[in-house]
Amino acid sequence: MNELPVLAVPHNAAKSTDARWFCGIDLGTTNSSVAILDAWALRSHGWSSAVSMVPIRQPVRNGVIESELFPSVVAELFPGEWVAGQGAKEARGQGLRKDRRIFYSTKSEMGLGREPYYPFASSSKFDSPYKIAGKILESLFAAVKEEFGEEALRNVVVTVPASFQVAARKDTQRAAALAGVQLGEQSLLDEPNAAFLDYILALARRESLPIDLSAPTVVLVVDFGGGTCDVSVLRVQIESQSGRVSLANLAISRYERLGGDNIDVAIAEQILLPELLRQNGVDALDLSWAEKKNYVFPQLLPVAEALKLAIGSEYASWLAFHPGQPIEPNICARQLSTSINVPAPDCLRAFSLHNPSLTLHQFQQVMAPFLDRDLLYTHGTEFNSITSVFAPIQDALDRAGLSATEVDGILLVGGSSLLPQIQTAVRTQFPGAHLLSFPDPDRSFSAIARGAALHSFFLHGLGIPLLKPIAQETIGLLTQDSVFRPLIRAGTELPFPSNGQFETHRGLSVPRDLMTELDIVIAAETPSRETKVLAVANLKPDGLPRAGDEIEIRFRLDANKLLDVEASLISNREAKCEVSLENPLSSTGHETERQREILVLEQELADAITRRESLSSKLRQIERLSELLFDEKKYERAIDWARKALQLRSDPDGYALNLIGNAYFELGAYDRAEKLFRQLVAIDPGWGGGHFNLALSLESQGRSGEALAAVSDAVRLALQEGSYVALQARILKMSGRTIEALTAFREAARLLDLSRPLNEFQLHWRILVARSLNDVKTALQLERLHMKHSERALPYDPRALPKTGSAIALR
Amino acid sequence: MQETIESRRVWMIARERLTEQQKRILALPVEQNQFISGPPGCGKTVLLLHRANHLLHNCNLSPHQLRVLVFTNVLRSYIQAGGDSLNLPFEIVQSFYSWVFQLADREGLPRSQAVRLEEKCKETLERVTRYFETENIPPVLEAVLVDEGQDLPLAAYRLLRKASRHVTVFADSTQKLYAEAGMIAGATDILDVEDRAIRLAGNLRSNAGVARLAAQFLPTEARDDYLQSYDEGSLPAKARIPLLFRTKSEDEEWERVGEIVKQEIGANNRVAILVADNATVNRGHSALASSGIPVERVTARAPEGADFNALTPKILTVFSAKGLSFDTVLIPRITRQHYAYAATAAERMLFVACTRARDWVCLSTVQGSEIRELRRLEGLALAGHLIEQEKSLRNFSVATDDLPEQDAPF
Repeated sequence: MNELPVLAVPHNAAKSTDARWFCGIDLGTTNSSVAILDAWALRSHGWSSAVSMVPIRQPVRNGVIESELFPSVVAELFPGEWVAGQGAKEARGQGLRKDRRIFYSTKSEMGLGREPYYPFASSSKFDSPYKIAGKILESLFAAVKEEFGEEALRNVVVTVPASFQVAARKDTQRAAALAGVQLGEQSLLDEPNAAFLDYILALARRESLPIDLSAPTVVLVVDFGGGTCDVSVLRVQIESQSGRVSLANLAISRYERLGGDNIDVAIAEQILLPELLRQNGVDALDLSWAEKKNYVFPQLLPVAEALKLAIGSEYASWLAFHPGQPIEPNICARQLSTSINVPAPDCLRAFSLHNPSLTLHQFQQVMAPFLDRDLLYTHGTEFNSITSVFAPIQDALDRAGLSATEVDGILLVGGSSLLPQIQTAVRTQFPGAHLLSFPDPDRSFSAIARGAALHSFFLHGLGIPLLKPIAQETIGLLTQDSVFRPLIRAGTELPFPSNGQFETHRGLSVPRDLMTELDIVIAAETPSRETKVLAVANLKPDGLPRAGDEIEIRFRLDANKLLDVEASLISNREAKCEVSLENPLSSTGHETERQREILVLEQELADAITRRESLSSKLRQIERLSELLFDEKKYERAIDWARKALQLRSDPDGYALNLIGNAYFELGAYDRAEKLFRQLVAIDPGWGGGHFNLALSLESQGRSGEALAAVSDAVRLALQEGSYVALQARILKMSGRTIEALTAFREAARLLDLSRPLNEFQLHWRILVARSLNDVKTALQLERLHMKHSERALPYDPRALPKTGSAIALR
Repeated sequence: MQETIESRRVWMIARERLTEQQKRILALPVEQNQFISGPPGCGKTVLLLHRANHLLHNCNLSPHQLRVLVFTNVLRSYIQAGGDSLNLPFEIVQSFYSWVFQLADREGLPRSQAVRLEEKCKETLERVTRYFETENIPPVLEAVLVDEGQDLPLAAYRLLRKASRHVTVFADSTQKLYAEAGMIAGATDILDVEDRAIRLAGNLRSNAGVARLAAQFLPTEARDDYLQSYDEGSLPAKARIPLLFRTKSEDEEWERVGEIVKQEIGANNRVAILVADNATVNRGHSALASSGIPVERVTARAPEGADFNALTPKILTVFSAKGLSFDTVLIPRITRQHYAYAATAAERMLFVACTRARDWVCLSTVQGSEIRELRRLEGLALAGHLIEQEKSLRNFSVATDDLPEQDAPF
């Protein structure tokens, strides 16, 4: 089979085309690329040579490179002189402040809505992720225009992560518009689907197919690139007679910020940063969170990336030459010594990083959480967020209502999927599925752009897109007695209706027992027949509607998956309600209330900075932000903001001191914590909590004598606080004063009376007391209670509630 | 203590990644001699090692029945490093003349008394060859594989024909460094392989940018032939345009070389700095060491110390680099002082030097003392296939960042 009839240009093409060039752009988090389809070559030579990658000339320090890969990096090297691509990427290691003059991995920030997103950007030309994307597209479009003329830019398709929300999709359109190209809704193509289109194109060259596609086949496309891990479940069938390909999108995963970039950050954070600090005899906390994020990391990341690539290729070459042998964990990648510069107001601090290295063993440890098949939740570190690659895979399968055994084939694409560890993990998870691959591993980098060019030809050239976006789940209304009325069924091609107008649904009426307003409940039904409420709109007619009055529902779901619903009373058109929902079926549901509040506060502060207002009027917000960050366990960042708050206040503030002290305590920097708590005690000697915290920090340093003195002060100030007595008992025990300790534990147990409600903080100490008194039964009971407490993510105000854990943050 | 980067970047290619033609060649029968030629970078050395592996494991030769003979000691070490990946016994790789001396000793022939090494080699070879031809000595080896066969004198082929039952020669007609080297026609005649000589096509190591540059140093009639060996489909996706920079002084030149080496290592590239003579090897080594960049000197006398699979950049002469391959090649000091009076024509040296590169070549010289052969590159620069830079690099040296007045922890 030389030429699959699969992609035979259909006779029923809506329009025939005279255009020659069709352009597909993969606007990636780490790298972008461009493919071009030559319709003339297609006519004369068939598919095998119709699509090619466009080499892009990029100025670099040492001349020019011409590469298919265009790093998604923009840098302003001199005021007003910006560069994108490899030249900008090279500037990453040179101490430019991130998000001020150098911008990378910005795609993850598309559509977040904060504007300006980068308040410190050197110019308003760079202050938002979509403007950065615009600069990247500008360079790519220029390359295309130079090579193929203006025409190619009329037929452009740009890819986006399948799970991109409407706002991020709109931002992509805005970016293209900034670069001079207007993109319609259909000109955005989901990345995993683009990759699969290219896989079909690659099949056209194959003698035999690796997988039987003549019957409906379930294929999982995992696109693990630089910044996103996107999973799409497709049902594919190629009719053997007509050769027509039918492709249906069964599900896409929710949005994950997970990609090769996160692996680089993990290497930098877990291996290189500790090594840098160790070699220079610097304490981790001597550098602030902002200094690390804005200066240290941008310089460590190129080293981390080089080490990752080197260890990956060494591992692969080791496997190639030693098939079947146990892996040598001491394989080691090294890089040149380098120096990391951190500007300070009056000087430049340089830290040398001598002989940075990464062993395979270290790399596997770093990779483990990314490949975990059990722990699928995201956990954040100070500088990273780590999610297992199986989280989006499992999510997509769940949405499609499929189990791992029902998957027939898996296509891995994206640069990060080339890491042998990823391939092994996926193979293990899906032992029954075929691992599909491109004949040439480098095609993993270009598949998305190629697929986009193919799509562009079908869309712009023939007027019949190869693959339309679909509704993943059935959307409908929940009516009385929880009856679900479908409006748009799962699998419906989008936009629905296809003309972009509204579809009308009738047959609903006002119930008998209506009071004053009607709830229009919009819901989705999963393949497993569960319904979940997406939104509720209120229809409030003037005066009482009559029972039995007919209700008209008008709705549409566009290709960007924006759902509009209107409801009105036929008898009274004035009575009407409307609701719009963005990508209702892949809503992330990730962000907690707290994370949202952090975003809002940061936006407010960013605005103030952009308007060059003094932050002194924002003190309350800054303090709140530091509290929230503390609760998010972003201790270093919390310290930065609390310090800012201290700076802005003219006199020392106990609250900020306590928060910084607690953060230091959580970070294990007990000596620093002690210093802060001593100041706290000095300015507010009457508060027991300060003495208590001081005692804790001293105890952790093994200085029990001083700790005992401090805790005694605390107990003296709050005689009824059993928790303080409990700490006193523990310190007494540590000092060898066993009998006094026993008495104190008993006293603590009495004060922390179980018949009264205990807060989380007290509960923590009550458990300790029960354990110390060998009251195992109580301890176990309380621990279960404590776990239940922690499971509930209650909105939490540290001013009102004491903190769990060892230190307290109440004021 | 010299700092090195021992991160390994094996230059050898695993068998599965060879082309179909290459796989056929490595298993060619041993009943007849074989002669394989091709342009630089078509994978001859990789193939030779896989063929050695094939002979040992599939034709059941024992290591003492097989020799891989090469022309220089550096190439010997380089090939041994590649053989490491295949677990080949390192003793099968020998330099040609050390093998000749060994034969002479074994057969009890008197050694040449000549003072100059070159003379000594030539005389001993003549003596051993005559002995094998006149005394009708039976072959002492089952098979010999020769790399860079174009550099061996004709007498060598006469000896090989007698001393081994089978000979496979890998040769390159485009890169003869020595005028007196054996003609390929003569060699194929002696080995009786004229009708079987195989030309390796396509799949060149060097990318288009490197090949276009190298071709400028070939005589016009050889140029097209060399460029035709490109199979466009097999060209690597990434093409870096070669760079030629000129500085005001030698110190500035080494400083820039150091900067570039740093950047190349940062991209995990195997780097070689190729210079005209040993004095420049030493000069470059100390210049780079003083700016904190570890480079390894590779000399013909003691090549054993060099680890060709390691990422540490190498500095060596063009002559020593024959047969070697690197990702990035820097060719500094292209001045009259170093090239105009060398034994070999500057063009030939620069062709060999350029073709050592897979991805990128960076040439450099000092303004005013460059050799006239560099003028050949003017057309290439005009066509945009070569970037010429004077020292000024303002555009890409970043202005120091000023601190934002109102820094906040974003």
